[in-house]
Amino acid sequence: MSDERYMAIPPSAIVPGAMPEFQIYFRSPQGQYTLWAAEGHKVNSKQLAKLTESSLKEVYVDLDEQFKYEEYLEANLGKILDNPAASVDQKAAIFTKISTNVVKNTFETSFGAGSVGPNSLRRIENLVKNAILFLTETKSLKALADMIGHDYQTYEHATKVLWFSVGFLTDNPSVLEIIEPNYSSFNENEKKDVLHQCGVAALLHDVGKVFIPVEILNKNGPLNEVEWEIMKRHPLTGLAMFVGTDVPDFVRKATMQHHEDFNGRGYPMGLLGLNISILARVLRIIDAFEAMTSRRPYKEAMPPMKALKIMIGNPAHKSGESDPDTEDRDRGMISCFDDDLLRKFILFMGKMKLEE
Amino acid sequence: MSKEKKYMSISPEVIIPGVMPKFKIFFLAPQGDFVLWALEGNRVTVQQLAKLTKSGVQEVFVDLTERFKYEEYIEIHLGKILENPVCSIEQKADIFSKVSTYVVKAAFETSFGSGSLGPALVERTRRMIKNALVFLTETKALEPLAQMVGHDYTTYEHATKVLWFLIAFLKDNPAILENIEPNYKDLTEIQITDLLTHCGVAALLHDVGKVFVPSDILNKPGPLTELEWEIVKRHPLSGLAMFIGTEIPEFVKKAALQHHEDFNGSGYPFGLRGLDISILARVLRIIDTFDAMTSRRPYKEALPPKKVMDIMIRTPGKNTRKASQPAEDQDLTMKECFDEELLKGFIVFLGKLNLNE
Repeated sequence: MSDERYMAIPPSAIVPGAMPEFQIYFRSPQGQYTLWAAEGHKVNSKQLAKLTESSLKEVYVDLDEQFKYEEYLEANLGKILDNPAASVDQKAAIFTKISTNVVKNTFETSFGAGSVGPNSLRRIENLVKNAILFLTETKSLKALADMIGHDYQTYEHATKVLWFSVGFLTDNPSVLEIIEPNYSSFNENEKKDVLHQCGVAALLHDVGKVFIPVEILNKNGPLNEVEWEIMKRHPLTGLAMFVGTDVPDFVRKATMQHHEDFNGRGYPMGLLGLNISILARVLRIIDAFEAMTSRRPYKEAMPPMKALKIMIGNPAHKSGESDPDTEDRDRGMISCFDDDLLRKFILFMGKMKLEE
Repeated sequence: MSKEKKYMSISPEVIIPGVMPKFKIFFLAPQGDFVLWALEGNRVTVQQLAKLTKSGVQEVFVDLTERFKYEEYIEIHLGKILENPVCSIEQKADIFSKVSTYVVKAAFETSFGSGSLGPALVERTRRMIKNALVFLTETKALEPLAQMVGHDYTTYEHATKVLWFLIAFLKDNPAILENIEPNYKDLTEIQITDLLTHCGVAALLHDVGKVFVPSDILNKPGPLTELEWEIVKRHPLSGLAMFIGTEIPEFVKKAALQHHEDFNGSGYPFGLRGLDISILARVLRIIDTFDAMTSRRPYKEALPPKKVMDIMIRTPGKNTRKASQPAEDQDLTMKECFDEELLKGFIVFLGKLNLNE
């Protein structure tokens, strides 16, 4: 038997009481894969406890059953994230995997129809709900910090923007009050719902990119005028994909306006300052920060502190002077953001103990 | 009169008996003097108006500096003017086109800066359409509509004509309304009025996204570059974006978004195919094309309606369409762009208009 047929999974991904439809193997010290729990067997907490005591870090799933495994994770995500046996790091890894799958799937299935279907939206909402449950444990902020600097992928990007957005908004209820003027008089469920919808905006802000040809999205080098025009269409396309869904207006606005700059130089409308919806102004910041701190095919990841410095702009830095350390393009960012929100975001980042 | 004043001629039929205009009305004395007839604040009575009409006066005058007040008056009282039995059908058509044009112009121009239409403008548009509905569905109003075919193409007049065509066509084809609103048969009169008004909003504002396309591209006499074409293709998306935050129903948004989707899937922005395109968008695709092709553009002559219909119903032959040009500007055969059944219905409807060859 060759190793490649199995994928390692954390035992804590299997939650007591939720029956997996795939087979679980473990690896003997001799390197043999042995069937531990067959499809349809209930794994009980005793068995799991035994497994944990045995200090096994990994169990295995047949690669042919990867799809079933992912389905299982998605269906039981809430329980997994709630499972005290799982470490925060493992939870973060599982969550990212699921989130990436769901977003990828939403992007792909929306492509043909030109709109985000109700099923996809329900999945996204469910995901966001679980994510929020998870993120409200402050411990998870550390896991979030660890995510920064991972390789960039559109879907992963969306997940990270979701994490930051929900984390930031939870930390800043005053921003939520601007998003939803009645927020302070809402009950707990209604408040959560506002946060969920913000999460939907964060996850789907780039969904319009499915209509940008891959050659343009992944082009290694500067875009020409036509390509740039097509690229700039994605916030509008994203908005169009929400037509006929029950997504609230503030989510639509956030998607459509997440590339508007505070100084009026953004796209697609060139809106100025407070004409840009607040959630879009938040996303503009998080989107930019996440993009800068991620590795892309054409650039290395930037350390978070450096990214933040560029976003604030260096006051000691007079225009015209050149700084070999900072690209002109980056220095131009200073007036793209809502200053007040940017300050709040930096305070929030301070709590995450980022590495230099 | 000490100062030389300028006056604009208006039809006395426009003044609604009992509704006080805020502007002064003059008439032209046989000696060539403008004489104040009804002062601001004077109520114009039925008797006065009747006297005026009997006297054979075809026009009265408004001081040009009060033009704005006059325009406001006809917009606010559009419903009553269009109901006024004294007013001729041509007069009504003229007043309706004027008011519709102001309203579209306002919608296009004032929403540019904020990137959105705003509830007040949508309400204004809706009120205007509601006021005009009865008139637009009158059979005798088809005659002035037919006369508008072939005018120069201006964005605002185009929108007005598309509105008019759409309302008249839908009223003539309740099956389509049933398709738009499955409960159509059970709707009350008021609900039907609302439904038609919504459809009218889609017609009037379907091109509102063009405010974000530079006018030198819109009016360019030659073929568009690839970049310009991409910019033009953005307008249905921008239009949708401008509806955000308004109470415009989703089917109207869809219609504006999809009015350039072609039945065979070769349209934009999504390349939707066949019945995936909303019915109202499929209707607009036909009316929009028909009006554009029968109008004179800065870069092309108006085509006779008969020829336009020919082009619209014929299947493509050897000529192939250039990807970077709107099909309606290439005068090629376009049949595959349209929902054939709707197109047939529209041609039957056009038959009732007695259009010139």
